Amino acid sequence: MSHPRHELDDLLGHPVRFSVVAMLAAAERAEFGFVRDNVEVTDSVLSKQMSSLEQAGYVKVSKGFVGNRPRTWLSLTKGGRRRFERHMNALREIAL
Amino acid sequence: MNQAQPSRSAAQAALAEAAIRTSQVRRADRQLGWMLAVLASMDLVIAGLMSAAFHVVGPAVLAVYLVAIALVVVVLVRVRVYSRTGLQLFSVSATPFTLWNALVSGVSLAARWWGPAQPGYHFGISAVIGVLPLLVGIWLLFRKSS
Repeated sequence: MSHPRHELDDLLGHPVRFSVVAMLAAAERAEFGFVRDNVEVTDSVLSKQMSSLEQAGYVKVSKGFVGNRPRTWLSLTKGGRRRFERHMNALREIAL
Repeated sequence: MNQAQPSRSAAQAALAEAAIRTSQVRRADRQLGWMLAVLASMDLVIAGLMSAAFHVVGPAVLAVYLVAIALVVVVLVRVRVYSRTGLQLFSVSATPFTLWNALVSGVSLAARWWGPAQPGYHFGISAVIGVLPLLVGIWLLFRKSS
């Protein structure tokens, strides 16, 4: 199985999930609102996609406070980062 | 495993999308640069005040210090994303600055070379040296995000 399509990740085929994971791949961690605003999705759409990514072990969600304000931080797990890299390499091969 | 083959243009579009997301994170790293800029400004203003009139500027130094801390907190609260590289640049810049200031303070106190009777340029020279790693960090953070 040498065709690059075999290295593509099904979960990252979804455009919103791909954008979110691409952003998190560049970041150490990102606040939920930052991702929502830049990927241009609603809270509910992002929450839904984050749940599937979290369940699949791609993303870690942590909650905290800055002063009185609750903050939700998102970050890629090592496994998520590895899968994204593999997905990107496959895309690069296809795009050649 | 994925059996569906995206077209070449779809793959290129996905790569372009990933590049956009990366640049958004890099741009946001500028906030770390602004924090370093506040620290550098604070250091130089305080050193300038102390060099000029060490015995009369206590309240002014305290005011500059408090304003700088408030500004750093404001920027810190507004940080919504940061990259690993941005955080490393911030730490690598702020750590020598902090260590240098601790060293200067410690040695000055131990050697009793810190008082109204001592030459004021001591503070100015120390501040200029201490601020160098911050300036390098600011330059690198802004260059990376442009």
